[in-house]
Amino acid sequence: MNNVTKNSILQTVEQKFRLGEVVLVIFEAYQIVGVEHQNRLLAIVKSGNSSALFAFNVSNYPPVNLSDLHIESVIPINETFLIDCSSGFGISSYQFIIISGNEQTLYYYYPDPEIFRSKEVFERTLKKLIQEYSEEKHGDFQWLEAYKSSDLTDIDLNIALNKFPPKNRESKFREELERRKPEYTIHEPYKIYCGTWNVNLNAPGEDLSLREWLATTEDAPDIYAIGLQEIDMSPETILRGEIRPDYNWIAKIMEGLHPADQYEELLTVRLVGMMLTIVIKKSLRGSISKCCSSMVGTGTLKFGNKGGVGISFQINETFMCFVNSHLAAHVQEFERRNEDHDEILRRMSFNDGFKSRNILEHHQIFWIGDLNYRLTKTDDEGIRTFCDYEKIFYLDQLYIQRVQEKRVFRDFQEGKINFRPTYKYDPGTDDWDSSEKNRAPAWCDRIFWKGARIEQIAYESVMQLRMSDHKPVYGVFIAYILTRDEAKFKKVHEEVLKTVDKYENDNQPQITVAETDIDFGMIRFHEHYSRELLVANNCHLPVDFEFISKDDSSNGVCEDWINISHLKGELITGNSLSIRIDIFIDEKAASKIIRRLRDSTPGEKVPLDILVLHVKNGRDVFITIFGEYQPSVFGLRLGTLMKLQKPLIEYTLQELVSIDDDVNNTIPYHKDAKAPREIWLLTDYLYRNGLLIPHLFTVQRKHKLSPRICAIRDWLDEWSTEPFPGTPQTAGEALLKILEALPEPLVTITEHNLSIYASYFDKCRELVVNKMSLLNRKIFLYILMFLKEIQKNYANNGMDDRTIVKVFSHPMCRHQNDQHCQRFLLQFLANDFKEFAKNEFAKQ
Amino acid sequence: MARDYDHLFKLLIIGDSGVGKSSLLIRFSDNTFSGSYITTIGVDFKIRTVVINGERVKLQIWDTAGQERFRTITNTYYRGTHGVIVVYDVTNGESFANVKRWLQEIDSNCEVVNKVLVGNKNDDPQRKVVLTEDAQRFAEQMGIQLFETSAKDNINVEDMFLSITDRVLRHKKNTQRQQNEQNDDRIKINDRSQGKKKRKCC
Repeated sequence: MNNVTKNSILQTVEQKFRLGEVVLVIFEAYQIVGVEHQNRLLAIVKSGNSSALFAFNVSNYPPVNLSDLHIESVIPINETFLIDCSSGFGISSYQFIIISGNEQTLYYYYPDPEIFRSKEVFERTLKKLIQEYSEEKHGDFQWLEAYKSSDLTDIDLNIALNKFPPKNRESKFREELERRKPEYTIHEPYKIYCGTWNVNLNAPGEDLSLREWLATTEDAPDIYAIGLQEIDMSPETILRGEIRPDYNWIAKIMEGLHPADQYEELLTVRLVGMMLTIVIKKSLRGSISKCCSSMVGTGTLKFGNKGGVGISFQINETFMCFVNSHLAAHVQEFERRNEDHDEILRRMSFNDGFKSRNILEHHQIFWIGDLNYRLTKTDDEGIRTFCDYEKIFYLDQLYIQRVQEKRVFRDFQEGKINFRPTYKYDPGTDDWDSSEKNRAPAWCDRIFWKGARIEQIAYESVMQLRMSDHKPVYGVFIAYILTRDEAKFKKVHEEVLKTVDKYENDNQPQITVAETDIDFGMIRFHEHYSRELLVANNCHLPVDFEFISKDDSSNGVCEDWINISHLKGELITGNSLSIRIDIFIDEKAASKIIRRLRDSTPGEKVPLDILVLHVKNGRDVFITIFGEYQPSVFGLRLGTLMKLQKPLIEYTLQELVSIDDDVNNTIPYHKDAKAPREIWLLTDYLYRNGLLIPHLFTVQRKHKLSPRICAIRDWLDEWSTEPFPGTPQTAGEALLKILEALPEPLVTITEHNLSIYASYFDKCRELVVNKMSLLNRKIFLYILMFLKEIQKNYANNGMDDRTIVKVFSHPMCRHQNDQHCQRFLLQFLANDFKEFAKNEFAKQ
Repeated sequence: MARDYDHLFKLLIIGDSGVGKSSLLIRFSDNTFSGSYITTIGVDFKIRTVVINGERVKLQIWDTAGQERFRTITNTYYRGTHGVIVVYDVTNGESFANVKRWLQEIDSNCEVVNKVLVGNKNDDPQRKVVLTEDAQRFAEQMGIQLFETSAKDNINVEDMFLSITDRVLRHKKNTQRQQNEQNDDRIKINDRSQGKKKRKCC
């Protein structure tokens, strides 16, 4: 990133923030997510006495607009914040880890020398802020709320465009609890005692008491970490890579603990000569979890004669780690010691069964042991007789490697040494080594720590324990452990529940509907009506909509005379859609809509149907279709047609329904009528104008949708005196439609009866008499006589009896299997039924 | 603490149009109130999680359109409901008179369900027409608990929702206990039959 781009990017990032929030540093890194590298723009932002690290997802590089940057995470720089830049090898030399609370995120640098310069600035800034925070011990992180909450409700482009689903509630819940950890956690002081002793292959003698070493503090420590070296270095032990704890030593340690409290061994880990035992107050057992150990052998063949052992556990909300190591020996071998240090740091890994963490992925780390760094060559006598430790401390190789060279134990701390070098003594005495080797004294045995909120209160050696050529060393610490305050936690937990409730409620997709009432006005038979229903997605989530059935039955989503252009669909944020709703009352629907509106008041618009517009994971909207219906002769019962005393349009729908309901014929038939007026008019017209016309009826019903049907409808409904407005073909079609629109079929003989008897003419006649009402019977025979006339003119109109029955069978019988009905009708066309009809017509 | 709730219940709010069903829901879920009246045309739901005796109960509360013409449609929303809140308006006698019909709707749509009767808009004694005593007597007859609430002034809303939730929770626990007892019996029977089998094998 050259300076020009960097400045313009910085400006874009700055726009993301408010007045008083200062973007200190921006830094590009990437994260490996799954199999892909995702670019992250990291920004360190400070406001007042607190600061935070923002990680942005960059959707468009270089970011120019605000919308190119999406907040991926916001990490407050507080006591849980750690950055670990310790370099590994290969690609991991470019990695760094940001730890916050229990979460950690691994980022990588771009391997680019230019970047390395900004990396230093980035690292330095972060460390300075961590330092500032730990000094003030308090920061007001309120300002971060704006970014968290805006994160909740802001339109996330990726979600809105349906590229990613919104976060689920559960992960949001966990995130929120984690984020608010500082509110419900307090720091409780724990006394930690660390001791290290190279016992020089001695077994613990019976008369040995470790009290002088382990029980020197006034108050009983909460946690002991005791590291021993050279408990056994026999060739067998080394070759075997002994890992079984030495129970004699453990027993001796347990005896030597502070007498003022009850202790138990938490865990011991051993590798050859090194052993680390963690002892805790019994009362602490319930606070400790995820306890596990690890060991790393270094040196020749990695047998474990040198190396380190470690124990990791979680105490309350803090992850703690103890390492006991024994590094390479000999004055000149400090570089091998450095390498041992690196190897332990690199290879030591703790796995609690769910997760692995390395040494540095702990909040508090104590590293103890015989590190074997010596005092570089000088006048031995001078060292042996010195009184002022400070004067010779600069000769300490570890001081040189750690403080001057920054080669090892970087970021670790050590207390001031106020004790004599702990090596090398003649065993049993406090005298310096008098052997031939005449080894120079050295501070081989050391204690280091890393982490926030640790105070050392003692760092001593114990001269009185003279068994070994080393003196034991101990360090006592007050470590502040992050502990959950249950009362505060309860409160925050409830608040977090509210937040995630809000999150879930806010993340309900919603569809905006222009109108929930759609008025079709007056609807008439056989005419098309259309209305637009405008729906839009004005929310920040994609909307998946669908019209659903309004009851549990398998009925469709609406009446079958309504058609919806889009039964389902998907709308991304900002999009809208015009859904067309069509109504067409055909011959099947005509009687249904009359029934449906039977209870309505004349002149009032009534709900014809209600549509349920369902949004997946969201609310349902009811769309009411309003309209009025102008009844027509199509859709009325035969009896009703027979009772009409005046033009149909002069009746209200309700009057017609009440006549329709009069199945017992308390209202008399119109005195002149033999057949309903409409059927008579249509057949009469056809008798006169249609018999000779070729293809008057077709099986395909070519004139089914002819607009002339509407003219014929009006002519019939108005009792018009005008000439017939249709053609013979449309008159025929109208006749069929009248039959099809009857609420019940004209032929009321069951399919079953017809299947048995349709081959016998006399049986057919019987069925007509027995199974059909007199009115239906008369009209049936009336129409059949008309059909017979058409058949007679076959020579002119080309209509044979098979075509005729194919056209009329379904309109008359409406059976599933049309075959029987066709045979039935054929019987009448094939036989003479004039006498039969005459008899029936005479009946009253 | 992987999951964010221990129980999930569905509650349904029914009652005449305009009695304040949506206002009660919004008061409970968002703790807000809007004076402007928007008829619910459809079915809406909101989430709120409450903690009862340390247990987190996630409520999915459905708010139905009260208008007469939607009644047959809203019936389908009774499915899977654990508790029903029947709301009337204390300033509207007719809405109280209609409570009986709403209770009948519940009976015809749900087998066993917890109910609560709510007289909303109880914030202006001048306008109150449904007397507490009358409502109380009716509630006792019907064997349901009465709450007089005001979504506007936030009176009794929380208590009412917590009360029905508590009922539903207790109901669930009783049912579970009974089932466990039955299961225990069943296991015993199974044990016996297994024992027989074993003997046969020998």
